[in-house]
Amino acid sequence: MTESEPRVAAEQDTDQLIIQRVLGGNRDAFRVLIGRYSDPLYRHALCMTGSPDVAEDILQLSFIKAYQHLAEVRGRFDAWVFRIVANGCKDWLKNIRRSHLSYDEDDQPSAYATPDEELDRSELRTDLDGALAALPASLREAFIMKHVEGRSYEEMADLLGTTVGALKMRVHRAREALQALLEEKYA
Amino acid sequence: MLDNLNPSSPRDGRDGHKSAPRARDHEVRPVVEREVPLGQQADRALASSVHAWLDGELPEAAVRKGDTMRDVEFWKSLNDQMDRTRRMRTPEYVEAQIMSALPHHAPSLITPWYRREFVVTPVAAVSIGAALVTVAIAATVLFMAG
Repeated sequence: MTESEPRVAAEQDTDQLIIQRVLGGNRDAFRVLIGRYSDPLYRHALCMTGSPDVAEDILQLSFIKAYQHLAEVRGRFDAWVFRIVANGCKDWLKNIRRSHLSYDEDDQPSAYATPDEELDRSELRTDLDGALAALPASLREAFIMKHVEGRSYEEMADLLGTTVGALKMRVHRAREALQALLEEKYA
Repeated sequence: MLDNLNPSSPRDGRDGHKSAPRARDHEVRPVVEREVPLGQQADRALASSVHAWLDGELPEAAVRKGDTMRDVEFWKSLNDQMDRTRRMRTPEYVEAQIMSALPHHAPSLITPWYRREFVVTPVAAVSIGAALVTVAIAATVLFMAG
C-alpha cells in the first residue's frame, strides 16, 4: 500500500464515517471534511462579507466550532456546517453595521488583497460587489445561494429553515434591486 | 441558467497570490456593508418570464425577444462576472491554519447537567433518605417549639 492510499480511501468515505474516526481520536481525519467543504463555504462567506480576510476568519472559526461540537451532529454534516458559517456571516454583518454606522466609502480598505487581484477585477465586478453589499443581508444571502452557489430553492429552504415561496420572493427582490442599481450603467 | 455551482472546477482563485499566511491584524478591516433602503432603487419590476428564465424554468429563446431582450443581455453579463466567483477556491494555507487551531483532544459530547444520567447507589439512597428524615424531624421540632 502506498502512502497516499489511506488518504484516498479517507476521501472516499462518507462524512459519517469520517466523523466517527474523528470522535475516536483521529484528529487528522477532520482534514478530509475541511477539504471537502471549505471551497463552497469560503465562497459563501466571501460573497456575504466582501472580504477575503473576514471570509477566512469566519471559515476558520466555523470549522473549529464544528470540531468542538462534532459529537452533536445529527443529519448531514455539510448542511450543519453551512448553517454555522451562514450564522457567522450574519453575526459579522450585524456587528459591522452596529460599529460602523457612519463611514466614508472612500476610506474603506479594498476587499481584495493584492494589487494583482485589484487589476483582475473589471469595473462591472467592482460595481456588482458594491450593489451586493447594498442589499439587506437576507436578500444577499438568498441571491448568493441561488446564483453563485447554484442551489435549488428546495435546498435553500432546507438549509435556512424557511419556505420556498419566501426564498423565491427574496431572490426576486434581490434581482430587481441589483438591476435597478446597475442597469443605468450597464444595461 | 445561472445555477452553476461546480466545486471541482479548475483553480483560478487567489491561491497563487497568497502562498503564505499574511500577518493578520485583528481589527475589523473591510467595511463593505453599505446597506441602503431598497425602496429608492428597487422600483423596477423584472418581467416574470425573466425570473422564470433565471430560475431555469424557461429557455433563453423564450425571453430573448421584445422588451426582455435588454434584461437577458444584462443578466448574461452579470453571470459572466459571477462565474469567476464560482471558481474561487479557499487559499491553501487556510486548511493548515484551521488544523493547527483545533483542540488537541478528541471532541466529545457536552451534555448539560440536567440531561446527565444519575446513578444512585444503595449507600447514596440510604444517606439521602436519612438526611431527609433528619431535616423533617428538625423542622417538626422547631415548629412544635415555636
